[in-house]
Formats: sequence, structure tokens, C-alpha cells
Amino acid sequence: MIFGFGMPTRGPVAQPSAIKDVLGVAEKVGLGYVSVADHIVIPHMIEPVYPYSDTGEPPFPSDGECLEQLTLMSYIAGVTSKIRILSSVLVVPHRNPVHAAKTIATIDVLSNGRVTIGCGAGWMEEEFLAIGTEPFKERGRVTDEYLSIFKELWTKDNPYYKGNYNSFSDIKFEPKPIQKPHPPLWIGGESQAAKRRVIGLGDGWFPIGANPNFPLNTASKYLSGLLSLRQMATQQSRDPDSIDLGFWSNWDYEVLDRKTLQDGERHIMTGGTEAILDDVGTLHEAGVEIFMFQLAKTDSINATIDSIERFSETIMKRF
Amino acid sequence: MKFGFQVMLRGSAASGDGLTAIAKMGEDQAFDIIAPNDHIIVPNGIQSTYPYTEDGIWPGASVVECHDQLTALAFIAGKTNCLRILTSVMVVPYREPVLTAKIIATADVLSEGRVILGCGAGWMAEEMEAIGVPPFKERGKVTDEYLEIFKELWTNEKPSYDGNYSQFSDIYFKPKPVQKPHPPIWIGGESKAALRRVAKLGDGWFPAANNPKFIIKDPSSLKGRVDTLKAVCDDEGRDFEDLDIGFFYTNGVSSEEVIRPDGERQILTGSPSSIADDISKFSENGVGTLIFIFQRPDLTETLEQMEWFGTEIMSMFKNG
Repeated sequence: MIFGFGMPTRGPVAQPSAIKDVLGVAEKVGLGYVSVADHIVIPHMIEPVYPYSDTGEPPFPSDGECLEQLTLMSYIAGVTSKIRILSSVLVVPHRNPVHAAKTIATIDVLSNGRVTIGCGAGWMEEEFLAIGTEPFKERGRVTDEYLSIFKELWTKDNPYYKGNYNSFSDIKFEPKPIQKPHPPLWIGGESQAAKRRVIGLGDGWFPIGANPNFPLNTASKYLSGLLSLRQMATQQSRDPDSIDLGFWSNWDYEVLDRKTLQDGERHIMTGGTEAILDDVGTLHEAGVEIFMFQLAKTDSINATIDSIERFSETIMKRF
Repeated sequence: MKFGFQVMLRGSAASGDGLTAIAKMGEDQAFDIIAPNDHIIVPNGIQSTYPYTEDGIWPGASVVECHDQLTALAFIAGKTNCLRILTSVMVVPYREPVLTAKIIATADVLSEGRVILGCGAGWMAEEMEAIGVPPFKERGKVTDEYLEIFKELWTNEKPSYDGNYSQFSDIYFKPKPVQKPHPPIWIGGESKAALRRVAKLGDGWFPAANNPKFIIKDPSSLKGRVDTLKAVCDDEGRDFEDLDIGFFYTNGVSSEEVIRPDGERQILTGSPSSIADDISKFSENGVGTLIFIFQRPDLTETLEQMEWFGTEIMSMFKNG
């Protein structure tokens, strides 16, 4: 069982000396993963509903501050030695796939194989438009094609691809990633489409519990979501046990009385130490090995360090 | 005079440990700048002419390794405290401009303002094709537009752009780079088009020694090109005195004296005092930064070369 936390990409904690201090503490207490979110530019007006809060309000500040994900991950590789570095998630259509494959391979080599790529198809159309990506409506197909391109470039001596969005041949792509066959690809998302992508292209399933459209916000809802994933996998001749399981609790786990909107049950990974230990135990029994928690306090370095130490004392030490 | 060293992100600099050892040696010897190169993939059978060898063949073709330059830059930022990090050069058309502006701003924040953006328009058509960027033939126009986009995003609170290759409006772009108004932009290249880009969009000029069309083999041939740049600046209404000049000396610097076919000593070879004299002459001709190549296929030899230059040559300039 491994615990991890998300590194802010804005505010005082997203400054170089703070990043080093926070990661120093994280490595010392034995956190195994640090994750980084992906935004490139934040539009003034966001029409689509943020999928990971009950209100649909995205947890962004009004000035759109954000560091670039893969650049921050590479910097983190430079200032740490053990912790694994997870994109949570890489919005796959945001970046040209050849460039993205090279960037990820570079981080994997320079970090000595410490990268895991959490992947999503994205939800913010305005951001797609500003960056100039393929059409938002095609993001599912774009994601599938780009993931196939990553694998082609990471594993083949003479990579070749002819797709709808990208084609290449007669090239070399070296060095390959250190991890074989390539850095793990964890697919985020809770929908049927996301599960299909896990089975077809993923090494792991990495949902967020808080999507109101596909809630996994109680242990029993997570278990039935997992059961349907495993059944789909079996039907499609994918060994369900070959799918790694990670769970992203992107909310304040120290809230005591949070109820789910759907059924008024206790929200998963809230309700005090003993309740959280129960949830972690239940999910772990079902095969979940990686538990990501929202430990950082975006506004304060000291509060972030305190929070990490408190989590280590109350939750991690119990396993 | 400031001193820097080029790092080709292959061979002895391709592993995390190798790149770290080279960067740390750079800081130990008090170099000012580390300068990684830029390739994303290496095509088979490159037909494009490499501009910096007489036969037009690119020395990286046989090695085929490369790392993403800007990713390596961020890693180096994490491993070092003082070295400035110069992209040498970044091929501007390789990467989407909005993402690239964000990456460079991020790297400038994380390095606490140590980024210098060396820029070129590129020469390898096959690489651009494989990445899937705008047509090679348009690379000059693409480069100009992308540089304008970088500046728009880095300096405006409400950035917007309506260009041929990219359009955006109604977006936030934060954080801004630490350096104001933005990280210095040094334009590589020796041609008239490159000099014009320096005058219009650059904060510095960053030529290399061995473009066969514009050989800059010594301080006097550099002076000829500097005079051309001055004329272009006058033409464009740009104050030449504003510009930094960094010179990428792509030939060897060595304690073993090399005698050229014409009987003259090859510059930057021989005794420390002869090398120091050559460096001073570059300085007299307006060069503020010299970038050298010490990298060898073997890591230990690379580090020895850097140590030799730091101890024997650079110390003469740093201490006096």
C-alpha cells in the first residue's frame, strides 16, 4: 500500500524553495507518490461544468495561475531521489503526441524510472481552443490515438504510425524510457468510455471519487464501479488482475461530517481517522494499492508541511 | 567575459547521473551558463543540410539519442543553483507556441530567473515533418509569429493574438516569468534573415563559428559579421548597443596547439596565455559570452575537459 499527495501548481507552495522543502518532508515520512495537475492556460469564462466537485465550481483562483505540468514533474525529478512522480492527470489532447512522448521519456530517464502517467481526455473546451488542439468533440478518439502513438514510440526500434491526427515513419526514438515496456499509463475517469480505455490501453485505473455524474464517493459505490470494470475486462479478454488500481481523493479528508449528495451517506475518505482507515482497508482488500490524498494547503507552506506530517502520524503509521 | 558550455543531450549527458555530474562540474568550476541542444526525434536518412559542418552532415545522426530540451532544462534547474540555462538553440517551430510559452515561464519561475532563450528557425525538414508542425518552408514566418506570441503571453495581463498559425483571446496567463519583461531572447544564426530577426525580436545575437556560408573562425571574421548586424540594426531602427552577443565556438578549445595548413596557430589552442589572448580579442569585438564544447562520449573525459578549462583558463578572467 502506497500513499501520495498532490503538489499545487499555484500559490506560495508552487515556488522552488517551497517545492524542495515540501518534497523533503514527503520523502522523509515515506509518501510514495507526488502528483501534478495539468492546465496550460485558464480561460476567463469556463462554460463546461468541472466534473469533480458537487457544485461544478472548479477549484481555480480567478487569475488562472498554473505551472506547466511536465516541466514541474521534471523539476521534481531533479530535487528528489525516491518519490514516484505522477501526472494527475495528463490531459492527453493538450500536447502534440510526438513531443509529449519524448518529454515523458526524458523525465523517465532523468528520474531513473520514477514516472507514472495518469491520463484523461479533458473537459475544458475553452482551454483546448486557446492552445489550438484537435477539436474538443473528438477528444476521446484523439486520446486513444495519442496513447497508441506513445506506446509505438516508447517500445519500437523503428516506430511507425499512420493515424487520423498524426503520421510518421523512418525515425528513431531514443533513448527509450527506463521502465519496461514503458511508464505505467493509468487512465483517469469514471465513465464507461474511461473504463473501456483502461481495458484497451491502460496499465491502471485511477478514478477520482467525486464526479457527481459517475459517483464513486462511498466505498460501496467504488466497489460496484470496480466490479463493472473487472467484468468488462473479462468480457474483453483482459485479465482484471493486470489492472493496477489507484484512488484519488481530491477533497479535504479531515472534514468530519460530509455527506454525499446522491444518498446522504458518509463521503468516502472523510469522517475522521477511524472511518478513513476503514475505507482504505476496504479498498485495499479489493485490490487498490495507491491512495492519493489532498494534503497540500495551497495558501501556506507551513500548513502543507504540518498537514503531511499529521497525515503520516494519523493514517500512514496505521498500516 | 562570461563562459558557458554546450550539452548535447545524448551519450555522456543522456542519463540523469551523467547530466547531473556535468551540471555540477559546471557550478563547481564557476561557469556562468549551461547550454542544452534541441531535438525531439531523429529521422533515418536525413537529406537536409546541417548548417554547421562543411559536409552538411549532422554529427548527431549516428548517435540518434536526444532528450526533450525544455524538460532537461527543468531537471537541470532542480540540480543547480547558479548556472544560467541557455537553450542552444531552441528550434522555435518544433513546439506549439502557447504550450511553449507556458513551459518557459514555468522553467523561469522554477529556476528563479535563470533561463536564456536561444532561438533558431531550424534546419531539419524531416524532423519537423515527423513531429507534425507547420511546413518547413514557412519556418521563418512561424518563428517570428511564435516569438511574438511568447512576448504577448509573458508581458500582457490580457493576452490576445490573431495570427496565421495561432489565435487566442480571453485567457489568463500566469505566472509570468520571473525575469522582466521576460527571459532574454538570443537569436541564433548568421544569415541576413537571422540578423534581421535579432534586430526586430531579439535581446541578443548568438551566432556559431562553423556555418560554412558565414565562417566565423576568429575575432576578425566575427567583427565583419558584427558590422553587418550594426547596419541591419540601423536599417531597422534598433539600438545595436542594447544587444548582448554570445558566441558559440563550435571548434575545439585545447591545451594542445593546433597548427593550421597555412602555418598559423589555430585560435583557442595552445598555452593558457595564448588562449586567454584569443578570448580577450573576442571580448574587444563585443562578445559578452563564449560557449564552448567540452562534451566527449566518455563522461570522465568530459568532466576533465571542463575542469581543465575552469582551472587553467577561466580562472584568469574570474580572479582578475
